Amino acid sequence: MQTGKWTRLTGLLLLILVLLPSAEVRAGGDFVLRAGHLHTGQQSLVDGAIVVRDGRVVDCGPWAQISAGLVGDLPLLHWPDAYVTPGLVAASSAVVGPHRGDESISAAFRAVDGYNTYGDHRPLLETGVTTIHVNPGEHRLMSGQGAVVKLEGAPAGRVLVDSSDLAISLRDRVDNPDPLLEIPFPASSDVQIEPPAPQRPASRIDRLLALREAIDMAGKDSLAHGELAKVWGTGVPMRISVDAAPDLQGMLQMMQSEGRQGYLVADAMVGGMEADLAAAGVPVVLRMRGPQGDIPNGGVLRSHGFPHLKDSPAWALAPPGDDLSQLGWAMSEAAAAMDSPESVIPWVTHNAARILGVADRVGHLHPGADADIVVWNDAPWKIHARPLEVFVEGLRAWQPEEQHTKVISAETIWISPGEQLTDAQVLIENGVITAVGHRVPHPPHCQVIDAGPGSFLAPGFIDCYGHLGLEGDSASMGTGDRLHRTLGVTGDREHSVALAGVTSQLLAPKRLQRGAGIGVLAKTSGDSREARIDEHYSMLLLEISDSGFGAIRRLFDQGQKYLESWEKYEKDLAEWKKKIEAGEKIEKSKQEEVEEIPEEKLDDPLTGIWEMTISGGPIPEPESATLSITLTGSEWEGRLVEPAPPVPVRMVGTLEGTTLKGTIEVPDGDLPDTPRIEAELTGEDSMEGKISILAFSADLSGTRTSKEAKTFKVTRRKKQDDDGRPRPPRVRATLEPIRSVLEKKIPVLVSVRGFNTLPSVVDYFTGKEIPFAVQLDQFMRFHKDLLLEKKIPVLLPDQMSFEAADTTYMPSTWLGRSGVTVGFRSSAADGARRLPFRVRGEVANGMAADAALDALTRGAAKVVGAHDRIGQIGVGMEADLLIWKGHPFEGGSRLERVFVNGEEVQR
Amino acid sequence: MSTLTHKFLTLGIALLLLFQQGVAEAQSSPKVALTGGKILTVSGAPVVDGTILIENGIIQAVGGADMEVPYDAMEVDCSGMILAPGLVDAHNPAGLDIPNENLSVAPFVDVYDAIDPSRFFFENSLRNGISTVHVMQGNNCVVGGVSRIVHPIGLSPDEMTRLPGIALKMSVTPKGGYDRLRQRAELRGVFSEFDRWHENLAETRYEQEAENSDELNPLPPAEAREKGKSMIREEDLDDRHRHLAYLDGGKLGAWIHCGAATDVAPAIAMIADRGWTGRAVLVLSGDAHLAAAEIAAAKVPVVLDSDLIHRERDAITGEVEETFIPEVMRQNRIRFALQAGRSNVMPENLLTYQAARLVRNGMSQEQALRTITLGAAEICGVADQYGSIDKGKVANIVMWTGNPLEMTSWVQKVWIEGILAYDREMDARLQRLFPEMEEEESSDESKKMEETSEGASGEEAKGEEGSTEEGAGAKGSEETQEDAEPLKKDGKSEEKPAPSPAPDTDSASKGGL
Repeated sequence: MQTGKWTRLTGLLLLILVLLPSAEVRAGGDFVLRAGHLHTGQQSLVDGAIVVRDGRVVDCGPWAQISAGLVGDLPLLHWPDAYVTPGLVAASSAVVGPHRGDESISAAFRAVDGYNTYGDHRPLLETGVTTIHVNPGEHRLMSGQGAVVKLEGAPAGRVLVDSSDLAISLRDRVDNPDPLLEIPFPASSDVQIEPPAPQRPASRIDRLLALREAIDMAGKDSLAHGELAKVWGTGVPMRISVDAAPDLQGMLQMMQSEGRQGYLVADAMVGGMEADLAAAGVPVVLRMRGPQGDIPNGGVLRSHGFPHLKDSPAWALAPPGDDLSQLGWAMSEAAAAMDSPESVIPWVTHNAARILGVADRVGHLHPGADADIVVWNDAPWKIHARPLEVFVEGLRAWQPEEQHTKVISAETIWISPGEQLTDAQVLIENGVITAVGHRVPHPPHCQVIDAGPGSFLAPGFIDCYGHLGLEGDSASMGTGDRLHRTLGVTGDREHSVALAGVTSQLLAPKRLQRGAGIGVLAKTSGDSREARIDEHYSMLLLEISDSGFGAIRRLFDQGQKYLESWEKYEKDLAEWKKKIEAGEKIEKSKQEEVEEIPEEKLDDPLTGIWEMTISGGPIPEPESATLSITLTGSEWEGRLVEPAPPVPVRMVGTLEGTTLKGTIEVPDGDLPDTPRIEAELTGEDSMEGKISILAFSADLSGTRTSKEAKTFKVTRRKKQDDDGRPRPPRVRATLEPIRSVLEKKIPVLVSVRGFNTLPSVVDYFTGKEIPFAVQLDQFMRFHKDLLLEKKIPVLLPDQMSFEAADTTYMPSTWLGRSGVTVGFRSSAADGARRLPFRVRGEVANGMAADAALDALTRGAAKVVGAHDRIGQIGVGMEADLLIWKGHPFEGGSRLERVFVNGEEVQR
Repeated sequence: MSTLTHKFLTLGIALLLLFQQGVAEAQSSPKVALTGGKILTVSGAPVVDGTILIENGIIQAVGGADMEVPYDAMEVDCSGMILAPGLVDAHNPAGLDIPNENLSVAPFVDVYDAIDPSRFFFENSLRNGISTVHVMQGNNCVVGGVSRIVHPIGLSPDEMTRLPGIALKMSVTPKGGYDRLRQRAELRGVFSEFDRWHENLAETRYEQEAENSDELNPLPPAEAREKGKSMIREEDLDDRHRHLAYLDGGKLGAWIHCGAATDVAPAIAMIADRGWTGRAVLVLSGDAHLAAAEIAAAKVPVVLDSDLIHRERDAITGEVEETFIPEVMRQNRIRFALQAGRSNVMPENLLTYQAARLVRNGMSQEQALRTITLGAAEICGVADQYGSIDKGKVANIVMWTGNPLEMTSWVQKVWIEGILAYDREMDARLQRLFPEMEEEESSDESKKMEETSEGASGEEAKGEEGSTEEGAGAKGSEETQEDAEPLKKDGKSEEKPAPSPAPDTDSASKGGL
């Protein structure tokens, strides 16, 4: 039978051997990880990298060295701001145990039995720990055997060492264990019931004696104490939990006399013991006490916190109460007490692994180690440090839920020319700045970016007038054009502009149609149109010169009417809703479908059918048409009879004496302007006049062929639904931006030309209370006081300087110094990336560096009317940020990193 | 034995006497022929209009209509019915007085001492077509007692027992109040203590033999132990270690409870280590199915929990995921058996309901039926005697009114070892449950019930029949009164307001008419 068993055992071994390779094939990931800081568990590297193949580290070193040897078949994970360490090794944990057995001295309890190899330990991985020691408890003099396990991985491979140590505890609670009760067998009256057998130790002094005796017994009668004899025979180290110095001394002596290896688990350490421990070669797992303020009994090593240690022994750190969620606290506390905070990393990685006997696989990142890696958002000993990613054997084992939270720390944060913060931080959540200050909140698992010494955090630059995205499309565009449609995912051009520091641009058409157009404020980086723009149009662009103010006026009049029609609709709708809610019956008004029968009047100079001829002007050949005109009082209404128009064309106007004035209403509003008719009745049945649209006009002449007007059945567009709900007015794309302007939703940017145009423009817009900015030509110098008084932001022209009266006159300096808000423009399809360079030129020519920066950010934001969301580093602003080394407009400075909407623009 | 148990026993005897009155005359003939029914042999193709010849409790022949029935056989006409092997409940502690011992390590006990023939469970098993029960101690133990195969009829455990000493129960999952450390430490302790005892015994035996045969050169202790192991006789075994010796010696199966996936690896290691391969079975519960790959590699059959579904909550997101465990087993090609649930209310206590769920999740009807008959018998190691209708097997045969996996068909008769053990028409309990039916028959209400009963269609009965004994009882009792179309009156229709004359859809649509 014995041989049969052996055969089976051999068979099993063979089976395991056969199965092993397949377990090995479950290889982890392959990648190269490069990080701003890399701690291998033994040493710290700046800009280090590790190469992982099949879940193991194959190379590790500074990036410069590693990158030289890369073949290029591995994906590169680059974490420039992260701090990378090996997966932490918790030298003590409360995942298993204390066991529930009654024996005071027993090696039979194995912590590995209690570890759930199929368990989901992600909540523990979140602390950065990937390997833990599980122990059978510290509640018995000898509690059993500890083990070392991983928190993640294939169930069969999670156990690193199934019997790593023999757990011995010399704490007070091991004294006076419950007596052992032997249940009689068979349960009959013949068998005497034995009283429960008392167990040792009875007192502190008995602890070591009892232990020594048990071990001696096991050595003599290995059958009676099978498990202890076996474990003692394998020579596993002793894990000794102590909290009083005398016990510690006694134990050291025993270890020496028995010639056993081991380590201590202690809550704290008195001075002086260090040397003894070092001499004995016994390391310590220092389990720090929490700051609960408990004052332990006398003879205790020391209380709360990390002790002062003279040397830096190769010890390990454990959190208070073995609560792994407190490991971060323990690390930050210990780091504060160490010569350099980085010295704490080996305490939770390499030292711990070495004490537990698993240093060949975990606790470091040198070649041959398992690729258990933690990517921290900040130095791990920082109190807010959290993992951004945890790898176990090269596989991603834990990741926080995706969130877009960043903290950027910089030496200088530029708020305004007068206000700068030194050594301050900015918190960005979901692309918006939510805190600025010296110590901003660090939400868990936020990305922490330390811009380093000399760093200068500035708002992203704004190009107030550019054509990036039009791709050379130089067509003129009007207010109805859908400019935003030209924007999409950012490409190379936008990328280069963004990397030059220009994060926003007011996209304007190259030419405006009839002096009006719209501009769209767009980010220069973003992965969709929606991410880049807020509105389909963010500004109304106007060109006003000495001559052409009338067209703009008319545009605004039309816009006003359009706005009113909407306002009426909204009012009607609100009323209708109110009525519906109140349950009132709605009477459909009868006016909606009307048959208009014009009155027939004799002796009427106008009513009747008119044959009209239009000639001259832009019309190559005379055109004729038949009109039916009806006069009511002094107002007339006319309709085109022939050629039959596709849409009902209506003319309305007044007749004063013999002068006929009117406009032609074309319902769709597709015409850029309203055609006007001006005519004079030259005879009883004839008229002469002009029909004009914009600057064009044509001659008009007509004769009346009949005095009876044609009767029309006029069907107007329904203004109500069948249920009485008012219908919205027709949307007129060209007037929509005007409506938004009149509703004060978007501002106006007026390009003013001419010597004395500005005052009237200012009057017009201030009169309408419309927010606006102006772009001026060289005549601006005459209006400085007006600009200053009305606080009108000015968009500076492309030209840097003007010659005037023998002097060179620089608008930027001149206006800027006097306190007028100014912004710069690039006017270039891709030249926006030269904008910062151009502004450098301004600085070179006398503009203050801070004023230049202000003009590119806050000033520009005011010009484009978006100062409530961009152009400044402040709470609630969009996180368009630039990290410079040095002030942007000082020599030797350079732009290091760009963030648009809180997302970094990758180089 | 406690007085309470006595009382139960007396009650049980009384009940069973009552119960078996109608069976008495059938027991007289040693030869029985079941003719005319459709035979689901399980091991082979079904036989339509087949004949089963039983002699002395063993199936002598299975054949078609042309098979000659001996003149002295008592012929039972089963036409229109389906004959299937009695269902095998692979693992059930419900027949025990209490399912678990207080002692955590009690390999010396035997379920024989705890089987309570008066348990309603046994009576109900017959009613649900289960003719073979593997009665085993529950999972709440370290090392439990020895199990046995019983027939759910008889007045004493002896009478019920068909095969004693089937398997020993163990658990790697902590029993109540234990943790895994203590559970496994004790489990290891049991076997290391046994090994020590066994070696000492072997050595002693060798010395005795050597003395008897005047061996001049006695072997050194190690060899003596090895040699002495073969000299151990039955009488040398003491009560405490006898069953463990049987277990290691191959006389008992090893049934190990694994309540979680992490327990599977130690259980399998133990099976390999102690040489139980081939007669070990894992009794799974909890998330143990996650270790399906390991189980499949070890080729160990399993018994599943009657719930069949595992629900797991994600540690981070809190989402609950449901797994249909038999499907996992099927994908990993693990042989599995089912056990009837222990509740008297839930439908899980019907093996046919569980099998029907297998069908619903993609198994064929044949496979599902095999799982609760021959498959279970194989896993219990008794497939040579149970699980199919074949020559030489124990004549445990159930007569169903339809497909056994249909919830609308029921058990009409059960033969155990060729003796009619259950006849629904004689089911005393079903009759006693509704004694008033006869009197009520003349009343208007009950007449209406009868009229509508055909309309109260299968769906309703499907839900109800499985779930309550009362439902089944109602049917049976009425049926005894009206032989024609079986009435499907059940608790549900009884609750309905009496005047509603037409529960079926056709007449319901006529509304007030």
